[in-house]
Amino acid sequence: MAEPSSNPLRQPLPDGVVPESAVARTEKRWVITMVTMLAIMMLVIVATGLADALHPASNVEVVDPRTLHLAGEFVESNLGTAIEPDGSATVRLVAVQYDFVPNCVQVPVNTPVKFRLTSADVVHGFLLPDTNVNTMVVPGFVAEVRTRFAQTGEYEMPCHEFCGLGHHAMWTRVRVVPVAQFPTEAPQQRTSCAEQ
Amino acid sequence: MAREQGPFKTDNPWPRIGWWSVAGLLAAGAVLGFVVLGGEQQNGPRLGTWTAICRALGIASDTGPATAPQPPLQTPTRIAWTAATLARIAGGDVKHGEFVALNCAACHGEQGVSQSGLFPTLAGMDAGIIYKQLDDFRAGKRSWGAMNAIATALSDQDAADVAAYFAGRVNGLAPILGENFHGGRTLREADVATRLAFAGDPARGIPPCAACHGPSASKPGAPSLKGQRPEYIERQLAAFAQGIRQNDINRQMRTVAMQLTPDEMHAIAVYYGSGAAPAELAGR
Ligand code: HEC
Ligand code: HEC
Ligand SMILES: [Cu+2]
Repeated sequence: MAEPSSNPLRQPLPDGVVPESAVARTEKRWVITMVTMLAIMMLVIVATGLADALHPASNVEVVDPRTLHLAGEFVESNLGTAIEPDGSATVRLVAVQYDFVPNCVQVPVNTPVKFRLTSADVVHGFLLPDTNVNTMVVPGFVAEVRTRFAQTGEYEMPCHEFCGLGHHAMWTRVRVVPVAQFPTEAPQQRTSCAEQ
Repeated sequence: MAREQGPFKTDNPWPRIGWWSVAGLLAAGAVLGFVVLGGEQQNGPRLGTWTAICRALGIASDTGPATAPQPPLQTPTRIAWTAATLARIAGGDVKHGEFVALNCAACHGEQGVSQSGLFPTLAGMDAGIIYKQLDDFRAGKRSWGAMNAIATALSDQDAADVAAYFAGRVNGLAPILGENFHGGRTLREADVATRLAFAGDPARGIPPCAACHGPSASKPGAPSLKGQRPEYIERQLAAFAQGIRQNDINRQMRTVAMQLTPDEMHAIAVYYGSGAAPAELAGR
């Protein structure tokens, strides 16, 4: 027996009220429940991250938002869909108050697609419903998202980050078309379905 | 029986087990987040461990795709709104500008207030915009025979000076800001011009003109339209829509104008150009 103390936490448990073994059993059950919940949650995050490619694009690339139109990757003539030598598609877009440029892009179905976007002014958002594509488009940085479309069709992509008084009118289309509509493009050719 | 309590007691195994579990969870989380998920790339090979960690921490930068072959370079203008450009514009000398402006009055009117639908009013236009348009005319990014020749004759400093002069004239364009959005201007507004100016047409991707041209918000490079000649506004909208004028940065005006019908262009030109906007705003 320890010295009796005035601190109730330091006093022995009143034997016989709740047996210590019962307390230990309950605590153990709770620990198992909590650890299982944690494990399930981590598993869900990892599984969706790997299976559906749902994780933040982690590369950091910087660009000057004020001079996008003068030189470099995001000049007007380089926007749209490029077919890479390996057959994959790279789509380059500029988000600007209050449009994505080009305002309609075409990609082949069942083909690896890489979206590369940047903003010329404020933070915009890029989201394709029912896909893993969902990213913020931050001025000064290039956002890169990879995906693959399993079905042909048209996706509407709204800007989902309030960007100013014209935000509600800022949306664009992604048209997923049969591969045959992308014949052998020259590597430096760019296509889009925007009206020119 | 006394209990040994406290997080650092060593004769009881549970605190130690607790600490180790937390440490293990942190380590597992770091491995999962930085290496397993961080290295995963859809449609691409897995990243190496160090590359994945560096990228997740944001200390590596990729510039690969920028060097890929590109179509022939096409730029809308030579001007970008950088600090250097703004400083050059701010260095405009009004006195010398007034002298340069003697060459403009024949077309753009006394003190830049145009008397003809062919020529835009310059009085009250933002100096940066006048400067940019003059540079575009000089560089052939915007075409209009006489203006191309005149702009080529001006030096860069002349352009900044004359821009500063016209920007300071009154009785031309209304200041771009100064009014707030007013109630009752919704997508259900019956008048097509008011609707386009203050609500736009989201279904067609048309933002409200007022979000860039005032009176409620502004955008670098977008001039005030209130008080501009309506015929000029309508002609510019048609030029943007047909791709005859392509000097807008990031296609901001072309994208909008392509969606407008000729009737809408006319209505909005009359609405802004006749100066109806300020009077209407005052009335509400
Ligand atoms: C021969 C007549 C003529 C003279 C002289 C002239 N301009 Fe112009 N200017 C025009 C016309 C016409 C346009 C509109 C072109 C168009 O419709 O695209 C124009 C357009 C402009 C614009 C673009 C305005 C806008 O709203 O985008 C600027 C800036 C301008 N002129 C500045 C000047 C300056 C400065 C001078 C004098 C140094 C000058 N102009 C002399 C005919 C003239
Ligand atoms: C996203 C911003 C934005 C919106 C929205 C917008 N504009 Fe513009 N507009 C601009 C910019 C920027 C320019 C200047 C382009 C340049 O640099 O030559 C411009 C130029 C113009 C011009 C030529 C002015 C001149 O003096 O040469 C007209 C006319 C015009 N806009 C009308 C409209 C109308 C009408 C609407 C609404 C239907 C509209 N704009 C919506 C950004 C916008
Ligand atoms: Cu936006």
